[in-house]
Amino acid sequence: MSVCSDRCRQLLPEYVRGLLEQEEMDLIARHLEECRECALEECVLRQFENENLPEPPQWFWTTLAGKVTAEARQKRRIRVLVPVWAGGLAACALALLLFLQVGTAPQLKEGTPDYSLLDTGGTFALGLDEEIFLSVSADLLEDLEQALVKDLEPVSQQYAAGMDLLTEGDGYESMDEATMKVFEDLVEEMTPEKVRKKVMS
Amino acid sequence: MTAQTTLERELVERARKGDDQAFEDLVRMYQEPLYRYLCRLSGDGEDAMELTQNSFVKAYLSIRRFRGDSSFKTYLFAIASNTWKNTLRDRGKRRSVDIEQVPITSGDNPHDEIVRHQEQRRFWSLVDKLPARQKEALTLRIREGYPFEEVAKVMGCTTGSAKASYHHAVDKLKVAFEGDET
Repeated sequence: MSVCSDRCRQLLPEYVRGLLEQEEMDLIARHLEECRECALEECVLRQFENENLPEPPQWFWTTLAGKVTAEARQKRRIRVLVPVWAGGLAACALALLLFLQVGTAPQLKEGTPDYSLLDTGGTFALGLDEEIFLSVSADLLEDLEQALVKDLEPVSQQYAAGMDLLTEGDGYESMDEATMKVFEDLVEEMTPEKVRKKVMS
Repeated sequence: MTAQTTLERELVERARKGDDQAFEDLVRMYQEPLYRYLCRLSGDGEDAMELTQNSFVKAYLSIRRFRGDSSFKTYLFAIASNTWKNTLRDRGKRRSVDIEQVPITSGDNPHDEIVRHQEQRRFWSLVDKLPARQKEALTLRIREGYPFEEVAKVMGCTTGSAKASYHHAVDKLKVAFEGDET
């Protein structure tokens, strides 16, 4: 049995890691003595395999799991609460504007998420949050949140679906820049602490 | 099915149902390989720590959509790959490996040692110049030991494209050692 160059190249990573059967290890070792190209490739793989990486401090390993779940829970909470605020504000503003113009309030449609509303909701929220937050007492906050969650679930779902796009691989490619910016601003800037501080002030 | 695969599936299933403890066990299971993978891609320990945490957070937020078509590790590495690419795009540049951290293999005499050191510097300098996709394919194939089918899943490309990226990378890096062979 002989080892052709292609076969050798295919198995070299496993050879370098010592994962082949002894017979194959011996065959490839013999081939490497005769084939300059494969020997060079072995040098490359061994060098890359032996790279010395910086070790993170020990606390990184011991605290990472807790930090991940804490940060993720906070982001999930923002995904639930902020979209409700954003959606609520957008819906109110749109309803008011359209009511003044045509005399009837629009209905939120359930079903397939309409991503075109996301940017509108976020923009309205960012533009009006100061006024709204200052007008709501901390005691009312929770009740209001719950009411909005119930009444404006479609909008909330749209925002959550948008956030899902961001957390997936090609999320950024699937959203226009303005929408992405609004979402990122909401997530990065409107932490629960900041929202609460605004309300309490 | 290995014991680790069975354990992984159980943990994923529990995490999908909202069990944070199960997800934390998944983090502990894969934190080291993920950190090393990202460290190799980013070439910077601090960046790799941040990318590792961000990747796990994204995995947590999207775990309900994980259908089990691939292993959780492959899914996690795909998220990490995209997180790294997004970071690259945001920064518009790549950082280079701190070459001084690469150990010098002791030779038989000082001359050998100097030659080896120069060879290593040349090698890592070439690695740093590799396009992101080629570096990624090389890392997944050599360091993680993934077959090309899995490399392709993580990179989000075809198996042929993953193979091509890998072989192009290896061919470019051979130059670092060609001086010794003549």
